[in-house]
Amino acid sequence: MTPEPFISVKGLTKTFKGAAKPALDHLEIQIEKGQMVGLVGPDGSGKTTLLRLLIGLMDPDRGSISVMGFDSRRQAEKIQAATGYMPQKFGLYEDLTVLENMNLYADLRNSPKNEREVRFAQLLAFTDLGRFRGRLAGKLSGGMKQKLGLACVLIATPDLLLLDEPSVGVDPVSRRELWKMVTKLTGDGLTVVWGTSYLDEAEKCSTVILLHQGRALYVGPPDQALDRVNNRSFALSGLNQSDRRQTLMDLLKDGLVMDGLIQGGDIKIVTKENEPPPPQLGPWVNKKPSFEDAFVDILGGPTLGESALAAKMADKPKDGAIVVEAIHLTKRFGDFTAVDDYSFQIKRGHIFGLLGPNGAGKSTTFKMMCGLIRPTLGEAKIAGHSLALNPTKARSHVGYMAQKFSLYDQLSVLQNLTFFSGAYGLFGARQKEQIELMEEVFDLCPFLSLDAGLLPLGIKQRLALACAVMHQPDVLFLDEPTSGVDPLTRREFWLHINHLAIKGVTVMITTHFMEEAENCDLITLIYRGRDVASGTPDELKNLVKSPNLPNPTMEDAFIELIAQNNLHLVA
Amino acid sequence: MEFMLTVIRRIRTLIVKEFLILLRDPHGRVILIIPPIIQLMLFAYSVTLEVKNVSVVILNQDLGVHGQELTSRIAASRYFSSIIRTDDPRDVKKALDLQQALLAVHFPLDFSAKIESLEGSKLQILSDGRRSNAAQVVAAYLTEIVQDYVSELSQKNAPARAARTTIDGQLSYPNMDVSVRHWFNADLVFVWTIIPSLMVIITLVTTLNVSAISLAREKEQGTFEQLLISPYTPAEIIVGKLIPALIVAVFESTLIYVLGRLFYGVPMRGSILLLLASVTLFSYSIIGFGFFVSSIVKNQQQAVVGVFMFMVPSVALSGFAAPVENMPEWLQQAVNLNPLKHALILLNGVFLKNMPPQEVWLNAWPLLAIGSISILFAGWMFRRNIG
Amino acid sequence: MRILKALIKKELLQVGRDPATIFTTMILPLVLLFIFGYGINLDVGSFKIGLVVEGNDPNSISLYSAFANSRYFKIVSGRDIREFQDEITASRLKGLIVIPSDFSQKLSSGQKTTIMLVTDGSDGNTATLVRSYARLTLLNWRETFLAEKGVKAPSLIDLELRSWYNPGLYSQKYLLPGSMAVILPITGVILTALVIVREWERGTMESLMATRAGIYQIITAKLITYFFLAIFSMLLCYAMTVYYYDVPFEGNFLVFLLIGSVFLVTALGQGLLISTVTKSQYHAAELAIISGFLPTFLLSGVIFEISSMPAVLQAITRIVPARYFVASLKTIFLAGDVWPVFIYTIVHLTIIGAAFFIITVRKAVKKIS
Repeated sequence: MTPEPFISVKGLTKTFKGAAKPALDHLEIQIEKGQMVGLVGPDGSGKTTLLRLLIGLMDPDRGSISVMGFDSRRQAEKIQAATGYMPQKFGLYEDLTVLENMNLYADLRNSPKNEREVRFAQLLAFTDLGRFRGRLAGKLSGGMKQKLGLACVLIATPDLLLLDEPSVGVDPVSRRELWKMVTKLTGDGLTVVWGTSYLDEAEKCSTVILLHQGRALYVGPPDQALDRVNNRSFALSGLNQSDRRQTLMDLLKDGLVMDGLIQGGDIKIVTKENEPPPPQLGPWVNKKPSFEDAFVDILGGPTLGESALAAKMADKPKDGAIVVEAIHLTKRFGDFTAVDDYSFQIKRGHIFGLLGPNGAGKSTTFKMMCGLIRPTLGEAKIAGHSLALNPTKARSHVGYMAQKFSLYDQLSVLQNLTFFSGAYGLFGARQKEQIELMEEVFDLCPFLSLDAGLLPLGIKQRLALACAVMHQPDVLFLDEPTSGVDPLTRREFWLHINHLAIKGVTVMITTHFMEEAENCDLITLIYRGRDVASGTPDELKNLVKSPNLPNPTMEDAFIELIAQNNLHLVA
Repeated sequence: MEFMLTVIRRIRTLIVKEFLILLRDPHGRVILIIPPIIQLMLFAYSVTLEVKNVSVVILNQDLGVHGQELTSRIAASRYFSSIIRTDDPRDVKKALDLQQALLAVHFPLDFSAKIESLEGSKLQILSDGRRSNAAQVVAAYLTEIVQDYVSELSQKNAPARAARTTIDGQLSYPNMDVSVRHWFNADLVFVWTIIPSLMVIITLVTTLNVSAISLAREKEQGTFEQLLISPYTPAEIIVGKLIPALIVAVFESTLIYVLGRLFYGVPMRGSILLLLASVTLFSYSIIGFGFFVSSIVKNQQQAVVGVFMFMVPSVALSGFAAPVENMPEWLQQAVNLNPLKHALILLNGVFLKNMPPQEVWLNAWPLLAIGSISILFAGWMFRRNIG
Repeated sequence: MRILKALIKKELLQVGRDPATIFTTMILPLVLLFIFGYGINLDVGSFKIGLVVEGNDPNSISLYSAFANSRYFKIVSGRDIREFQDEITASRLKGLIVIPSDFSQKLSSGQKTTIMLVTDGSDGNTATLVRSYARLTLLNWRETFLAEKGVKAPSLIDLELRSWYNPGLYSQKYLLPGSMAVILPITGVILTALVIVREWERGTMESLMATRAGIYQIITAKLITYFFLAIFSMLLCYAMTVYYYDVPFEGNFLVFLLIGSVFLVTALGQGLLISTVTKSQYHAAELAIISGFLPTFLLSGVIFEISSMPAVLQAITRIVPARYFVASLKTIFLAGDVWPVFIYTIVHLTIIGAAFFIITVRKAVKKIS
């Protein structure tokens, strides 16, 4: 008799009430002890459902799950006792301090009192939260919350760790730290199932499970998946900063290309199977494919071609005018300065990237730019209208997508679209036309009558973007629009954003996906409320070029620039 | 013109949204209809200070006829539903202690004898002070029964009475009565009084939900921010929130109105337009208050605290449960700030008394003022939050 | 047990940081009790009425003074009934009395004399009170009238009215203890109605349930925490009733605590039930507001006599926990320890409370759906 695998999922099927298709469909998975498993897949593919089933919070409809030899239906308590589970929202009590949260979970996980002191000291050192032990969890930045969440599940040294997208909305520095922490743990024999939408993380796992529509499309080591995209990944450099967007759009319309991305001044493509790179441009340099390329390929590639959204949009004048302007913006909350004397200008048709670690002041800046918070000092202007003096006029030019999904959960998709179009003054035939356009562009037709609150995250984000662009604003403010969104949907978003920019829409965006920042015309890195570096993506990358880092990525640049700044602060 | 049309259309968008949120979910629809009906059914006949179905314990130690006679008169009265007869004083204590009887009547041993001898006898009535209000009312009934009996005896025994001739040589024992006419409600049907009051109170409960709690929810969910950054002006947002709440409130009142007319036969003597105006103004003041609550709270739980903090005092101090006249003077002044107090006068007035418009206005303008001040304050708070 | 302790500790920490909870436990009950204490008074008030005296003779004037000096009435005098019609319509006068021109003449001639009282029937309760007070004033006047004529009280029956437990017949003395049965559930329902549904909405329930903690422990921890808060509120109410309003307390304090505890568990059970069966904070709030005040206020017998209600309603009041508590409260404050009343209360509250908890437990399934 072969020994039972650590986790064994057999014929697992789960259908939710009222859903036409099962969320998980005859799933077969086996996971050995000590593995680091990346659980990836598009939004709504069943990742969260699988994790909840593994820990026994839900019962399967059919099939069986055995974890560490325990049946998830009958022995859920036993599984839960030996497992650390970190749900999407971290499960922290915001009105408890760091230490109080840890104490609570230590008690709930039955961690012996005498060992606790040592364990806490370890974990606080490990997560670097020692300084904040008395701070309320609600007052921590996203990255710190995530670390605290991890610390809480690690307290009782579990044998299995289930993480449900812990890195959503977390900046690259914290994300790298989290990764390091978890990999250290697997060295000690811990088994980890890591649900993520960051494929660079998945790439580093020992096994990847790719879920799609409730089925496992790929199970195996990530390298094996790369075989299918070998010799299909190419890069083109030396493009003019202003042309690259149009060039990429043209390339994507070309039948040869499966996928394409802007990388600062470069363009990277993945060709279709057995196709050469487009001959009209060149020279193409062969690139090492990434797991993301494979992922996109397995799922059949993104929707390409022209953005239907931008196509229907009237051209904005190409006058190079300054559309968005921040003049010495400063915001203080009591003693704390969230944004400190921050000025910038965005020209029409440009994409402006506002990067920075969690808590750097990005959202506060956004809120000041759309008049939700009054600046302590300074002024924000949209299309020449001051937000302080003429807020209604200024706002009518803006489409805003908030960081937290803030559409009406209780309304259906269609009702949300109708409401927000009406709110921005669209009526009658034009309203109908715009709504239909949004349904088509964002592929919302299957969801029209569903409650917005019940949608998978990716669809929610699409709906939120649709609501923000429906009135064809001159300016788009996007606060982490792709947070928690899978690579396919992200590509779709960027197709629209790039096309809109070509049409003359001015975009201000924050993101924690550094490869997305490559699309920007101008990036400002803010840290602790101050502008620490600005420039084009390539300029920023050049800033950190060194013998150790001959070819830095945007993420390297981010991490390095923040680290340098920390040194300044210390010195 | 064009501009006005756009504004109206955009406000309509807000109103439609509000109704969708309210009515889309079956739970939401049910909660607008079923609880008001249940409350009406439960409260229509329970809210009365009238005392009926009283139990009384009678300790009759009297050997003569008068004790017997009075006992049977008490038993025959419509107020008393059960009579416990006993000759053991311990039973009296037990019956009162255990609240089996509200009162006890004690006929002493020589009751009849002393009446016959014209000396006059004591009759003791003991009441349960834990229910002193009811006890007092019933004691008054008992007093009437006894007084009537005494009057009869006095007439009968007239020639024998010494007192009779002493007053001006004329009739000694004046026979007097109060003839009562209840205007607007000749038979004093209590339910006529209660339905208009319930119309106001039930509307109050629902209206607080659709104003205070719904706005607090938008704050908690982040959609309120989304509204603030849209081109809506604060005034438009308020109007867009106000109108749906008003419509719901008027709907609730209408529901109670129709049921009250159909099933409880309450007459409607005044102008239906004035009734509608009164209900609308009352709702306006309540919604204003709801907005005020939601402007100072952070989340829905705090809004619930705010709602109770408003609802309980306004019901308790409206004159509905206890007359305003019984309150200390300072409180009587203070309750003029209570919308419910004015609304009760208005609704009773229009319903049953055909209150003329100028009188309606006297009680309506405070509602308008309370609502407007609350809304202005809420608007100011919302603005301050942005800063 | 350790898990329960940890969960309770968590609840206490959260309570300590939430101003709304502290307000609800410490301030709200006192404010409400204050309002009930001053606002709800069923003692004899003084109603403003119109008085028309048609005659000009000494007897009419004497009766007029009797009304004018009565503590039941504030008099506005007039010549004609029509003067007052509009005032009654406007609810500024609660009634009017007419002493007819033939009053004195009939009195002297030994005929039956009748004075006329008009009440505002649109307010039934007040109309009843005004009628009783008018009659009482008249009868009192008759006694004085006879006494002035030098007639010794000729009454054959001398009524002696005595009230047990509350000799002064102050309505406050029984209304205030009873009010606790209305106020405490408000606190209880506010504290508990939103707590469980909030843990779901914020995603913390999921991580709690993935530990050793079960849903029953989570609910129990909340119940215990809020129970002690509610007991604290009850003691505040007790102190205010006894020391500020001078209501006597005749019973045993420990017994009071016992009955109060049973009641509070039931009241908290109602809130937890709401919190468990609703799917959003909004609906929980709606139900809390609908069920938290009016039913207890109107159907508990604190103001409106249950025995005066129709039989069907009397039957319905049997599921209102406050009804039992009101009876015990009045008894323990004013009468002392009457165990049959208390046992009746405890048994019924236990049954209702158990029903709440059984439903709560059934609905609060551990698995996520």
